[in-house]
Amino acid sequence: MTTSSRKAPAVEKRTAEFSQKISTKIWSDQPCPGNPFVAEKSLVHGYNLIDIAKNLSFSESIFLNIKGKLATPEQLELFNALLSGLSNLGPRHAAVRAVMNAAVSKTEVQNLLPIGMSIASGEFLGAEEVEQSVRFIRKNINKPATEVAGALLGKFTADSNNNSVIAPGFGSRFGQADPVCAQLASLLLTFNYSDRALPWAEEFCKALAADNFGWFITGVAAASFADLGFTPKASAGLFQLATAPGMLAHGLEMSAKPLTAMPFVDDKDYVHIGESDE
Amino acid sequence: MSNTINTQYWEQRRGKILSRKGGWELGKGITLHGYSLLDDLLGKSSFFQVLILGITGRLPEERYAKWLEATFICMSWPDPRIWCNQVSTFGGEMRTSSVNAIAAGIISSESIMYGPGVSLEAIDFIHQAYDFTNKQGSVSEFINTVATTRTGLKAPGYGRPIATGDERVAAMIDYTAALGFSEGPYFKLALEIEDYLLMHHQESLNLAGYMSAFASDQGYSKLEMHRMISTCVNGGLHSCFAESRDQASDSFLPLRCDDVEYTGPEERKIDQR
Repeated sequence: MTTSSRKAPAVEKRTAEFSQKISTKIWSDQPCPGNPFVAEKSLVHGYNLIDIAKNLSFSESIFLNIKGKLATPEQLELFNALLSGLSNLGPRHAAVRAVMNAAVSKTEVQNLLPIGMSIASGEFLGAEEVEQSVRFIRKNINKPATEVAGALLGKFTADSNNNSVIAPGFGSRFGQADPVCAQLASLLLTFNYSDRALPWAEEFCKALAADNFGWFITGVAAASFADLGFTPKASAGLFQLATAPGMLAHGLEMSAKPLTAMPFVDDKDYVHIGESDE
Repeated sequence: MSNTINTQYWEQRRGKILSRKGGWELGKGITLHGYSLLDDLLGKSSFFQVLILGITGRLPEERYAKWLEATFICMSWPDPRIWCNQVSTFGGEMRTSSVNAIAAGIISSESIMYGPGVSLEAIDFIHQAYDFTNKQGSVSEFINTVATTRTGLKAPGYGRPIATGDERVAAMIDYTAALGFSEGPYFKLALEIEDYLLMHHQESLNLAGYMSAFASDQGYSKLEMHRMISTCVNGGLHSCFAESRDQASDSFLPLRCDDVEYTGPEERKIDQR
């Protein structure tokens, strides 16, 4: 190469100043007298952890951790219903299937949730889609939902696998809108705190219905998280957290069964195809 | 409504796998893109050749696989200050399995600041620059229009955190020459851009930028390249995990309570809703 005589740029440390200590507004440890490495009291957003354990439900503590304040009764009603509605995505969801596959093949049980959450990070029916969906709703919420739907339908072309995403969190699966997601959205709309994003998204879905589009579970989650005031990034993580119970349950069920408890595709159904055969 | 939906596409795939890659045929063997894994590849091809074959469908020259392996070596820093390495170090602290610690470290390296996460933008950038300089204008015009935003210079593949310059690029350039590769147009352009950025922004080509340009010259696509380097931090993660796993727990950068600064509200009672 003619670059052998080229003088390599010097490697020098940048002048960026790194913090000397970690800073957080979430957690405070008050040290034991005589041992600064051990805490005798711990606070979460100002609340004693023991008081939290005594007085708050798990969902209230999640809300406190992320938002820095306690949920109002109205917020908590919506948050609880949403978390329960997301608690199991079902054994046909790819993330749950991944966990089941790992479990039946005797993957260590402590790996099951990381596997499920990792696969549930995706941009199709996963956390990435939830984040994008919150951004989509926030961006369009001040426009008429029917207008937004019309514009998207006007430029829509189906993708090759027929799972059609019209907008993050919305589309059709197996050729139609998902009725269970619509039922969950309808339930969540009955709560007092569903005041902006959920109604807007419901109108959006109504405008898409004639074309067989509707809610994805990610859209339901995104609209609800948006109404509760969670950021897009927080919503993505909360989706993973909320869907964890079902992943664990299906994984534990499979981990107790023999390897043969799940299908292993027979050779006759394993088809080798060329680049252009499909 | 469901009675009218055409579900033929999915029915054809129920209980059936369609594979372009190959697979395991019991009693016959394992094939990968037409090669027998044990007869054609084992002992005749390197792991990196097989890896690239699986990703691209094309068995690369041995020297390209050596080149890719060299980039993995460049990423194998046994330094737990590097963020993904520190994740695996904490795996050692927690006595996780090595598999968990390495997997967590690899996920951590999918960053927009360093690691394989940077490659997608770096490849887009060099392709964008290539198209611009072939059709519209000079390198300086490209940098000052396309690569300069309201917030300043945006040149993925150039500059890096902590330090200026990248000693790995010079080492890879030398090794690439030793492998007998000639300079391609993307690589030449990458150096032209570096010359301009060094002069005007004190930023130089980083490893991701170099790899993006070279892989483009070799005809690999953005996604192929990204897939090839998905686990490129692997070596450093293993070093850091092994070191911390072999030490006492709570011995890596132990924190006193007052090493964490609390900036939240004063202590309060639950009933203060």
